[in-house]
Amino acid sequence: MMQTALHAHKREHISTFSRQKRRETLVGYSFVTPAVLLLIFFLVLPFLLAVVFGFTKFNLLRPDKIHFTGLDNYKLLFTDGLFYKSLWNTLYFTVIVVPVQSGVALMLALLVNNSLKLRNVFRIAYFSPVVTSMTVIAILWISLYNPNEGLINSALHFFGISNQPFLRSSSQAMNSIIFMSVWQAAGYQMMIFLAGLQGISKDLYEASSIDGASKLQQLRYITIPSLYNVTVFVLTITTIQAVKLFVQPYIMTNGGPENSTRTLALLIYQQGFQFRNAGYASAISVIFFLIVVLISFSMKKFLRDK
Amino acid sequence: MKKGILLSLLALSLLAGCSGGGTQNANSGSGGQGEGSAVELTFWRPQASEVEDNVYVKRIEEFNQANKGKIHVKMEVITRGNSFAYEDKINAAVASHTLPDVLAMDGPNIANYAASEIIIPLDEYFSKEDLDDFVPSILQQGSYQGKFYAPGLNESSVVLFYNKKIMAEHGITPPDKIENAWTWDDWYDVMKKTSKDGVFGTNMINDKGEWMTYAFEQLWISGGTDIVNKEGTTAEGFVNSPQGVEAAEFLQKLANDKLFNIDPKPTEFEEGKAATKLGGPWNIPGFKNYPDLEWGITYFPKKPGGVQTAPSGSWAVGVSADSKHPKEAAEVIKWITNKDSSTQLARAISMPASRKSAFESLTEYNELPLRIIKEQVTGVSHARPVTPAYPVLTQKFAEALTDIMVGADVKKSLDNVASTYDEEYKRNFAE
Repeated sequence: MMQTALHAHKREHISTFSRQKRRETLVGYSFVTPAVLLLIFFLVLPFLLAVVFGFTKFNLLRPDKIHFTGLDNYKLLFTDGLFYKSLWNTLYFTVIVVPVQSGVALMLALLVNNSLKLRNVFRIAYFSPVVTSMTVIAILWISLYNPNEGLINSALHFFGISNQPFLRSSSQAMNSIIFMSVWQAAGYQMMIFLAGLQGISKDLYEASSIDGASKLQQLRYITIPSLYNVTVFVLTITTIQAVKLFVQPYIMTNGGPENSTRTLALLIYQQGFQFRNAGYASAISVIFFLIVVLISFSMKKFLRDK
Repeated sequence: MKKGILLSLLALSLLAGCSGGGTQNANSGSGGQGEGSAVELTFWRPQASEVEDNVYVKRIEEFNQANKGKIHVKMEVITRGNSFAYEDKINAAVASHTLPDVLAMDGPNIANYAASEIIIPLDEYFSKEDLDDFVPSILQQGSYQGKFYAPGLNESSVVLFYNKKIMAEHGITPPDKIENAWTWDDWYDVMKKTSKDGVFGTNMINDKGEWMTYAFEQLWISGGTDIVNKEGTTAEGFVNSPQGVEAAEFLQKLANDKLFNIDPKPTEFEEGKAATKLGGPWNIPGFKNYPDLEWGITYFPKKPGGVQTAPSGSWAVGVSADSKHPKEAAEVIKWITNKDSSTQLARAISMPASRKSAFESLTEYNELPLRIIKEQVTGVSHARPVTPAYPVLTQKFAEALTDIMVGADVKKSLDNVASTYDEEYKRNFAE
């Protein structure tokens, strides 16, 4: 008798529990639905369309006259010198920018994390380029880089260095873009590192100083290892941002001189929108996507195995 | 004051960006509210100078007044900037079928839009004599495969402005008769003499996009060739012909000798920092803001022993294939390009008129300095190539010229333009 009552009670408990859980699940799904729908419509669907369009000849001005051409776009792509050049430029930018920008950001974070009197001024100074639109910054830097009367050349002149063509030279243009990109975006990663730095327990530093560790040893054995997860995050987002390089070359060099700053994103834009070859642009996008996936996975693997 | 205008233009362009879908509804609906049974039309055009914008605003207001209860036009101003932002917006609207009824477009794009059937022929809406009133270059640029698609709002030309004080200092007298027009060599000597102490011999870069093709294709034409053949089917042997290479080498020589600034401030000439300037009538209204500047006009320089020529072409208006009211839209186009509009616009922005009848009443074109412009427009001008693959041509040509000006190999750059254009044409437009 007692046993059955207990059972009944237990059963009832379980059923209210599962009912409540089911309701929670339902509420959860209903919260997620808008985001999922948006993702499907603006991310998944366009990507699937790009895959489909990649097999077609599709002039943007004649959307009613799409026709399938099989692998033609891909055949074209793998014989297109400009595609390889753009791919190379994109990878070059990424390989340089990711470590340099993250390194600069870490140093800035260490600088503004100490008890310097003016640290808030520094924080604002380093972060302000991040909140300014890249378009505005690119236009500003065009005049800074001006080969004749730009501010940077005037400064170099002061040190007796002759005028540099910066954006007008195929050997300097990409590096000039890298320099300004690092300057612009390092403040963002600095903030993330700063948050990470402030999450490290003060006890560790106190204990180590009692043990007689120097500042440099503290940095090597406490700060850097404690920032591992933050660093992985910073490297990942910087890489993803870097491979998407578009605004700077679009505004500052239009891919030139001699295609030295043409990136994959810019190539896709020009083929798709300026030349209206939406089919070919889609094919490039698909290959671009595969390359990004490859980079992300290998980074994840590399950083986890470490 | 200036900031206020800028802000309001920005707000306008934002509104234009947002209202693409909404206006379509206004068209397809019965148009019940407010305007009675008036047909609602939309009109897109890129933002221009303040005076130019004002002319369109006024003319559209007058049109709405004259057609009260029948047609109501809503004009949307879209920022163009330094590149192809306006064209991008059109591309996007084609894909989503949200083009406006009336659409402004740059002259060389007409063939591309006509070939893609996003604008409709207007022959049935214009009488023969009405069409004949347009200057020949307008009919040339507005026609594709024997049909007329888009009349120009005005004409244009590129001339060589010069700073009178600097010329006097060096004892230089620029020619005012077309048969004495400077050759490239004469122009080079003038630049060489006047280029010193922070003053450039010339200012000739307006932007690194369409301007490059618009202005410098003429160096090819002056040499007796062009950047593509007459039919527009191939660039091989044209853009990279020996005469073409010679033209590009001339540009490279100017750059190597630092006779012009490749990234100039827009007002270099106005501030007396450039002795001459390749520019157009659109520059003239702005000269008023620089009372110290004494300027004159001379002809577009020609190749020694070559053809006298000058750029032409202008923004034009057409009816989109999406329009549900092509007849009413054609009325708007006739109005905005009629004699009154053409005259008023020409007066406001000192651009040569698109109509002969308007031209005749603009007496200021009979004297210097504007006489030079009239002589070029009516006598020696050449329009840009009429080809559906124009977007690739102009982009690649402009890129090549920019590269050449900063030291790239001339022949290699031009060969690249030729092969890219020919492949593109073969792939997408060859029958």
